[in-house]
Amino acid sequence: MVNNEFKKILVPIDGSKSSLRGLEKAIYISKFSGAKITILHVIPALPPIPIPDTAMEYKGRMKEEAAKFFKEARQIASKNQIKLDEKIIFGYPDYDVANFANDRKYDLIVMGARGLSPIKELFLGSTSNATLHRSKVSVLVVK
Amino acid sequence: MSASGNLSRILVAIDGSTNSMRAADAAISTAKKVDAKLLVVNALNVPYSDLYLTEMGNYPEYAKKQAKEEAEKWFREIRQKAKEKNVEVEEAEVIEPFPTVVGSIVTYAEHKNVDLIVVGSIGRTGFERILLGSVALGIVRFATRSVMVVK
Repeated sequence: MVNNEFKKILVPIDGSKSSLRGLEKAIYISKFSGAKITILHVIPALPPIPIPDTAMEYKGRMKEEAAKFFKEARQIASKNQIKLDEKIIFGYPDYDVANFANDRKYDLIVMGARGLSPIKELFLGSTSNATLHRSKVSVLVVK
Repeated sequence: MSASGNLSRILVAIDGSTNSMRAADAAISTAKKVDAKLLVVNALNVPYSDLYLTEMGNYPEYAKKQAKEEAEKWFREIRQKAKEKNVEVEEAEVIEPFPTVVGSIVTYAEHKNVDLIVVGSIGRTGFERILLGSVALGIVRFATRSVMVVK
């Protein structure tokens, strides 16, 4: 885990301003270190719903949403002449961001301090908190 | 404090633990990459056994002296490493942990107007199993600057 070189950076985003700020910081770092950036969106899994079509609808809608802010992220990256890897997974953001980074041996996670809820921007959101606790790789929390 | 803003001053908070030295390494190599200056801070460590002698904000002089001497060793080590990588150490300082360790470090970061705080995830008192210590978490929570937690 003693890796200061930051070759692979994971940036979890959820479409919030704070998460895109995180992306900007990651891009700034990768400009100097030549790191590869992966943006990750975890679509929260719902408890099973007995009505057949609803779950599919939910997933589809969430994917559309994700496509929107992934586009925004791509724009930010292309402004800086950087290519992003993209990944959308279904699961629990609290666990799966950290697990994703642990399993694939990222060197650094860069994330915003708060996600979609606008209040108390400077404090720490639950997903950032959970990721900080679970992650075995270094985390940069951007404020 | 803006995210796109440059990282021109990086603060690393150390307590002498291996993990905090790793944080210092990470801070040095980051500073080298982005061409930033490094600040090092250590919140004074006074053994619990001596604490009964203290009044608020008033550590016994011998304890302060001892802790400072200890910290000097770490500072020297970091200065050496930074020198090898051509990173300028702007300041290395021991501060008194009032009101708390977290509070003093956060205030120091504020005061020195740094762009990034680097801290080890567990310090001297952490168990191996714990992935995040109280000081690291406190700094992440209360600092108004970006914080890198080195694991």
